[in-house]
Amino acid sequence: MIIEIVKIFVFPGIAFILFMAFFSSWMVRKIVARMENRVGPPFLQPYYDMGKLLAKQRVYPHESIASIMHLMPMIQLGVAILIALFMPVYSPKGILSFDGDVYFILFLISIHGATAYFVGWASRNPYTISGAGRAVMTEISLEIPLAVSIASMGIMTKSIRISEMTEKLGISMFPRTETGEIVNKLTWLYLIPWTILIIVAIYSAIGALELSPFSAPHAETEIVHGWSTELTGADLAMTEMADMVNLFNLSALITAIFLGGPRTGLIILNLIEPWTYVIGFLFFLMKFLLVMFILSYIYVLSGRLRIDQIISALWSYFLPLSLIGMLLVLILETIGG
Amino acid sequence: MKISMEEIKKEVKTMESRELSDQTPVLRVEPNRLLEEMRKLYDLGLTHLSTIIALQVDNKIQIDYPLSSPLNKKLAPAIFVETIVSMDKPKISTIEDIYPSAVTYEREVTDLLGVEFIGADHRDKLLLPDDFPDNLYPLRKDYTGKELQQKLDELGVGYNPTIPLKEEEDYVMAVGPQHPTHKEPIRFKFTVEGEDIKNVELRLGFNHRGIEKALEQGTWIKNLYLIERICGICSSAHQLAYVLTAEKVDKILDQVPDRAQWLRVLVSELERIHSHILWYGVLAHDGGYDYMFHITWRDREDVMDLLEMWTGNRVNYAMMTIGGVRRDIDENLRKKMIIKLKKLRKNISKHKEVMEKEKTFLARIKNVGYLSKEDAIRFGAVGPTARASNINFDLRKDVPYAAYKEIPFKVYYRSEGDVYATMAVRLDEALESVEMCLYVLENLPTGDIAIKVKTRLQEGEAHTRVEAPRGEDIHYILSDGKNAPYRHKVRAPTLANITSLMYRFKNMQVADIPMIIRSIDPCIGCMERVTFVDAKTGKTKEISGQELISKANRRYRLNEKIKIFEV
Amino acid sequence: MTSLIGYLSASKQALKNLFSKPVTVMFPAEHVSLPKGYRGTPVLIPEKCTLCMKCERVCPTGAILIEKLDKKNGYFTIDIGKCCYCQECEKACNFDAIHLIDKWLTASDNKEDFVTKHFVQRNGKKKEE
Repeated sequence: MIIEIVKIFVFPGIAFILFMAFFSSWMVRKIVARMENRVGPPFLQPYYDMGKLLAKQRVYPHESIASIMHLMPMIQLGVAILIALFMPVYSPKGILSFDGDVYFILFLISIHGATAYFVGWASRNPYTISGAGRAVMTEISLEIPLAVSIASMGIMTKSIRISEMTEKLGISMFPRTETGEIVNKLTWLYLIPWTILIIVAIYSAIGALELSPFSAPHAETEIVHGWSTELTGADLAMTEMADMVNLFNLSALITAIFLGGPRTGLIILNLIEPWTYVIGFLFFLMKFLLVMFILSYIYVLSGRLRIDQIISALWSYFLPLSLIGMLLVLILETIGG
Repeated sequence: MKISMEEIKKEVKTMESRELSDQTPVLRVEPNRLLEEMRKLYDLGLTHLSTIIALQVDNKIQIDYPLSSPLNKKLAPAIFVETIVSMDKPKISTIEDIYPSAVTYEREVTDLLGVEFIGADHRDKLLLPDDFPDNLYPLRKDYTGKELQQKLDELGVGYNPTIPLKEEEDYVMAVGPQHPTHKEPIRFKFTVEGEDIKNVELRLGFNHRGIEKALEQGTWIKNLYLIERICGICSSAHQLAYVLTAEKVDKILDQVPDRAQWLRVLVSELERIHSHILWYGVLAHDGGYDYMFHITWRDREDVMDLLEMWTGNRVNYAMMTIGGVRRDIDENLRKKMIIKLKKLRKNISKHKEVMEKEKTFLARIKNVGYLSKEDAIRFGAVGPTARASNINFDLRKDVPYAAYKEIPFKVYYRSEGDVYATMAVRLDEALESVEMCLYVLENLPTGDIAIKVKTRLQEGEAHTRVEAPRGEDIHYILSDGKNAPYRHKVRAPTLANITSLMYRFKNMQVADIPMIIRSIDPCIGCMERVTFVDAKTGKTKEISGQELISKANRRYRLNEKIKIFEV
Repeated sequence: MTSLIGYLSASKQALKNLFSKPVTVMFPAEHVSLPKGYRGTPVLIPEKCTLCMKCERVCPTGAILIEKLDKKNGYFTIDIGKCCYCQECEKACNFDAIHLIDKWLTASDNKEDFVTKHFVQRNGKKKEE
């Protein structure tokens, strides 16, 4: 019982999630800064930022709907934390886990877009409404490629449960005999759809996080701060925190589904109970940082696309790409299976 | 058909013709024949109206129209068309049908000297606040600067603006006076439909500083430092135009030592480099490409250091003085500058390579804000904006001033006419300027850097057009032999480009707004008032800054919500 | 859009930056070096001043104010809140009494901190050459 409570509230639960969220936010900012030849923020900067925002007064513009503007950021943060509870951190199984949880997560991610729209609409400001429209359009466009790429991995691992997908990834891509020889001769061909799918997933994650090149919903120089322009004080803090947690979520999701999460992969270690968790956690951290690096790398080196360009990019390049990936997986499964 | 100046003079029916101190021909025409003669001149190829200079001479108002041609090289030096109207109820026909860019200049003249333009639509104030008294015209000689200031303080101008309320059905998005796109106050009011722009309105003058009036109160030397502060980025371009004009008025231009002229070129070109790097860095930021923004600004520090080493300051170099320059370059500094400039050349080439290649960024600037060659000529675009629309015109080449005649350089122009072309032109120009600086440093003539000048200049009038980093900058001075100018007219390049800017928004989207505004490199004064647009009813309300602050404070004390959108 | 060349085109430079020292100067812990001849705060050397009024006349912003008590004594006030650092006073002075030094950290909450007032006693000696 106590262990369960500790799990939910401390590790790998809420406290750990918030720590990781702040850490990832700092990490992205630091990587971006260093690539731009700047120093970047100190490690505690996200904590200072949040502390300051939480202490600030909340101001709601006249004729805006304060209750929605107050409620939605809380929903965003709650949903983000809920997603984070599914993420496998030290063992292939997250705190919450059930059959079909991948699709539940996709549903939860799309809630973020809806709340963004409500905030923008309730603020009654040309900038926020513009930003809200853009946020929803981006959200809708990126969801299908992301869902297709995750579904393809589901086909590959024959599962729709994160813990199973994580566990079976190595086995389904590189099936081995007990002596360690690879059985299936098609196994290296799996790397082709895998590469395509992970690229699609990473770009979709960038879209969901509203980072460049898909940062139109937050375009500073065009619409001030997009849908969250009118948010102040604690409301803004909640949204910012939700963004940070989502940064952790999507990186962790890609780590779990495409990189095998805390699994050690090809390295086979025979360890006793607590040590497998420690090693698993370290492996998760390494892979997680790699994904974070790729995210910030794409973010820093891209310009901001216009909303029509984002939509055309997502629908006419990334969606077909994900479908091609899925088709390749199906072909390989049929031939190999 | 390339027509020369003599033929022009024959074509126009003039009352009398005279020359300025710098041999610029002045054709004086009767006020009622102005429109006819202007149309004739436009058809003869004098398509570029630099500005409208108006001044009070005794009890008359003299209005000058400096005309030139960007295409016919023989007509590149300006020719003045002049007309004189009486002081009480001055009226003259508008020339906006012939020169669309005249609208802003005419509104300026109406604001400052009270000349009415017949045939123009009802025009609101352009530069002065809306509550500025109707019968008070700042640039008339009725008041000195101090008296004017006292009077305005008594009336409380700027504190109690009239509040125009407009019923609007459309969806309005205000960009400015405060908006992350441009840090300077100018207001564009966009009527939008979804993401598409349908209409745009402009309001200038959020802080009209009255520099032209102030210049009449200073002395020739003191004015050097006020002129410099018209703009922080192109300060030495304004100063250069001023000293050249003053030297022309005093007829000492040919006595200015060669070394001084070469050093003037050097400071202008260094300024052009830093201005262009700054500009394309900010363009990258507007396109969400913050990486290039940081990298370009990092490399810009080199040229800022160069300027600091030589002039003693990063901005406002205070280098020019009437009769020469104020600081010399010694051998040690010259060597250091050459090393730094070579490093800079390498860095700018790197910027060029990345900025002309990165596709996500190119997608934002290619085919955005198109301006055709015909429109660029018609709306009087100047500088890199015009050169991006396939106009091969550069004042440094076509009307050489300072030492530009002796320095080899190439004029870059592109045919695309979009934001990308303005960027490519500026990248090439920045590289070319580095080459010019190196040439100047390697071939610097020896000699003095300044001659001594009397505190009072001779009587006379003159004008100078210089190629500031943003385009043509025109200064006009009328001296009556005292220790201050009788009238000093300045027209900065942004005002010339603003007319063409409005036409660039056609068929564009909200997301293109920052890029298009950036394309002309706008440079505006400081903020005075704020516009709020109610998203629901679309009613516009203008509140002064003071009123807003007091309102906010009051609401804060009463613990109410801030109601800005009261209708 | 279809060709992959041209995306992430600054990769080489960015990765190089990642492993090189940042250019940021951590102000106020460290300062940038100022060049020789930097135009900073104007400072008066009262011993050399002869109250000739030349600098006051030439100052474009009226930052210099000289109040003469009698022929030999007076107050010399410099208001750096008004100063535009043009160096005209240094150029105008025949006695090397006023200089623009490389002091630039002049920000203050208090307007009076900008004003420095010197009591000047003219000792009648001209510049020694």
